[in-house]
Amino acid sequence: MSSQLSVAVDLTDPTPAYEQLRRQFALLIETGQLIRGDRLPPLRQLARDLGLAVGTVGRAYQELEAAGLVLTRRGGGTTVQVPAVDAVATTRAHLRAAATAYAKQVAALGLSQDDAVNALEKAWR
Amino acid sequence: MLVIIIVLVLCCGALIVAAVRRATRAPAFRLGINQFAEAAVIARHTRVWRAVGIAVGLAAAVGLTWLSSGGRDLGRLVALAPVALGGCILLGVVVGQLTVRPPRGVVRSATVQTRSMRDYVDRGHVGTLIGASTVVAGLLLLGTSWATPDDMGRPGRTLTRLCTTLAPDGTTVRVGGSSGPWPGEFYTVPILGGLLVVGLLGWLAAWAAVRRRRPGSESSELDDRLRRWSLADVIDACLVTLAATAAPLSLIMANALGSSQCSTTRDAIISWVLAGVGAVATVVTVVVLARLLSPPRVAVDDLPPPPQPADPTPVGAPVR
Repeated sequence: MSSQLSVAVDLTDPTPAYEQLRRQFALLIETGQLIRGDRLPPLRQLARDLGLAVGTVGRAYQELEAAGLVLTRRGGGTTVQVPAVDAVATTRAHLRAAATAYAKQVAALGLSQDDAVNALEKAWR
Repeated sequence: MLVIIIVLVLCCGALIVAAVRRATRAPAFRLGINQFAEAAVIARHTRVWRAVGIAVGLAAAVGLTWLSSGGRDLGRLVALAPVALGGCILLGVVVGQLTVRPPRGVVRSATVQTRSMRDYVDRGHVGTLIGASTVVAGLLLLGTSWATPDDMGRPGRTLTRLCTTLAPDGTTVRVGGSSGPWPGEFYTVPILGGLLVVGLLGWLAAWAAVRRRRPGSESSELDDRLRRWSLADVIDACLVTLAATAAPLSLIMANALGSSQCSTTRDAIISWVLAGVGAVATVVTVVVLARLLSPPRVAVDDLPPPPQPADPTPVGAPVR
């Protein structure tokens, strides 16, 4: 597991913080960036780092466990449980979905494909 | 009075070494304007509390030494001066780490990583600490096991050596006597109690440094460095306590053993070994204290650097 993986919470987003966390962890697991046996950060540590209540992070972990993606053991932390997936295919699927959503948004603004590409290049830098 | 002078000379020596280190060393990390702002705030906050801990610790150590100069405590207060120094430094680290403010931005990030003490301690440094602890434990054991009561019946204050020798008229006479102060249980019990407290504080400070929140995932490299520096400070605080305890203990024992009328060859060898340990412990005290007084710096630029000749300007032509 790379130590550079990170999750973020946007408090201005109407989506609840626990759902934002659940979604991001699920994405990391589905795209193979977190593999079976990898440990998620301890509840209190992640809550402290994000400035959230322990219960909020706890709910995200419970939802991930309910979906069968992780397993929490007393004294053993929370570990990823899903078997290895076709990470490349999953990542490509997510990329296609993100690109489609971006393209629709640019079209709704009345801009061209070139505008979309230029904006993406600047954002990537 | 002599003890106060020795303590002040050691502190001055450490300050001089620290000043030279600061003058000759570049900042370990240089941040641009508003770069990793939260991490820079945390670095400043923990550094301030660390400095407060060192200042209070030095004042406490000198104060205890001065209070002990009257002689009424029979040297117990000055024996605890190193414990006061190390304890105050560790308290400064604990307070600095535990009072870091929670994140206040609307977008907050964290790395997906489990932090543990093992990630941030240097094994060599820990090995030195274990070695120093072993030496101090040996000195306390030696002092306690060889100590005898003094003339007022206070246990563990003197070293008594008796032997027989041949008088000029051919008769055998009993010579020897008690010499003190000797670090027996009169001194070693409070010292051991103080060292155990310092050990607990050290563990608490290390736990607090690892537990402190991350200032955002983008500054994780700097944050990891800050934690390593804090844990190095914790180990150095414990080291300076042990070294500053070992130095006078071993020198006092070396002197008492070497100057006894009834010294055997074994006593002489032990005396020389103790003198060597005392000398090394004194140097270690000065070096580690100097290291604590000259921590690595995080420099934050306030303004962009002035343009230099041949720097490209925004329009492309170099500055002349």
